[in-house]
Amino acid sequence: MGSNSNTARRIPFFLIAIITVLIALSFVTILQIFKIYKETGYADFLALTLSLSAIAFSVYMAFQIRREPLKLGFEQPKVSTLIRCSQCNYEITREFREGDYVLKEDEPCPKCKGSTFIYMIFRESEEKKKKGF
Amino acid sequence: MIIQSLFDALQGLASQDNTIGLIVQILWLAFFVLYMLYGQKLQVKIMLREIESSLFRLKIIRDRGREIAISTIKKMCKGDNDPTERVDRILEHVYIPPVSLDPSGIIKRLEHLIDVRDFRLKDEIKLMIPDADETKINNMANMLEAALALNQTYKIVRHFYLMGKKTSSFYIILQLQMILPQIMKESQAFASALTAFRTGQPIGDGIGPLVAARLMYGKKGYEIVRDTVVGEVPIEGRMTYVVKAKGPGGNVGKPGEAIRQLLEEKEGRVSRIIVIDAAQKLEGEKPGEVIEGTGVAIGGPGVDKYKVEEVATKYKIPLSAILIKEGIEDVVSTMRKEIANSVDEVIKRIKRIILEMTKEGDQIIIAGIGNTIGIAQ
Repeated sequence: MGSNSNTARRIPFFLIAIITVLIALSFVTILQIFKIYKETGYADFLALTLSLSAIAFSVYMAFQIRREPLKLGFEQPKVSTLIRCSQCNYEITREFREGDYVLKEDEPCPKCKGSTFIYMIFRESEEKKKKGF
Repeated sequence: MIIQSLFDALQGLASQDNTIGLIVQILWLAFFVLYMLYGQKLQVKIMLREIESSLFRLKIIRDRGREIAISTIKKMCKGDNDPTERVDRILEHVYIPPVSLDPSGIIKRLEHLIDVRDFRLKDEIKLMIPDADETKINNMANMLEAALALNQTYKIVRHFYLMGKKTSSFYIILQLQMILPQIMKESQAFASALTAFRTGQPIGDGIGPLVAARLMYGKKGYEIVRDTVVGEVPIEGRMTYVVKAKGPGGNVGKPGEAIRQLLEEKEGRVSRIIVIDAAQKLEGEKPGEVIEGTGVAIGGPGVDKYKVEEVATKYKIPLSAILIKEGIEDVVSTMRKEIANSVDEVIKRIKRIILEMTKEGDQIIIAGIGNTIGIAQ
């Protein structure tokens, strides 16, 4: 047991090897096409299209490997503590500190010097609004 | 003879002696035959690769959870005490449910076993952190429970993966692959729960106790049963008895027993029981949405739900439920803003129910169900 990472990432060596071979073969084919074209004047468009498609596919696959590592859930979210004055309802939000809990008494109110308490502890969600249903 | 006629047919299909066409036809035919013979095996291989990748993630989550648990306890215990061995033993701890062949009295046996397990876990923590207060013990117990759940999940998925691989059974692998997205979602939720429990932050499940705490703020309260408090709160000319688990340590208390005792004390002179709890939201529903219902909204193994149903039936007391919708990923992770903001709406609905369904001078029980971590009273 042992990993101090908060994210999972496994290097797909097999996939990288396939991509490398595919790109190398495509480049060799393209060079051959150009060579034949120069020598005979015949352009093999089918082979050219196939080679270019293979390169495009390989680049896409490479970007897929490079994408953000998957989140595991251990990431510390931004957690805030909302403090409220029990007399004048003055509110202030600050970052959560260890030892904070709801209804814990806090420093006197800066406005009326009344007693304040932790009213709410919450995290801001990262979820984006979805369209449709 | 057959091969010859097949070749003739293929040549016929290939356009005018076109060699490339013939090769393509043969390749297609070969592909078709191979797919017919080995298609399912190929599918099994692809599915196993997918499961393997998820299993790899589950292993990292499990290991990281264990590391967090050990390092947190290490920080708290003084001296050279290494909690690793004890934590590893706790993570392998199993709970054996009571026998259900003879269902009579199963609730009592279930409650007893849950209590024993709970005490044992807390005793282990006391041995590791002798000077920890009640709040810390409860939080650490919750944290270890989350790490234990991660360990169990990983082991179960690994078991079915290896069994599927060994037997090459398409149906074992298919079932595992089908349920895997849900398992991954739950594991991620437990991973974020671990972080919340370590720091003592309120979680989504704590919305019930949060409502109860808001109602109880500044009012007289007492511990009615172990880990459960009751506050006497006058609302709209009625006397309400607000029940919640004792915080701010991670704890669900015994709301069922508390309600039963309150009703027995009042000899059933209670006009309504209102239960507030978090409920699983359906896809498409908004987190923090408040809905109402009838019945006892208490999750878990069913002990508390049974007790409330039994005593409410005995005294013929109507039951109302107020539910706050949350996704599985929100239930055990730090409470999100939308859920925390629903408290005002819940209180508004409690007042409306009280005004519409009870008379002035009536006695009402309001129970905020859930884990009260990070929420005092």
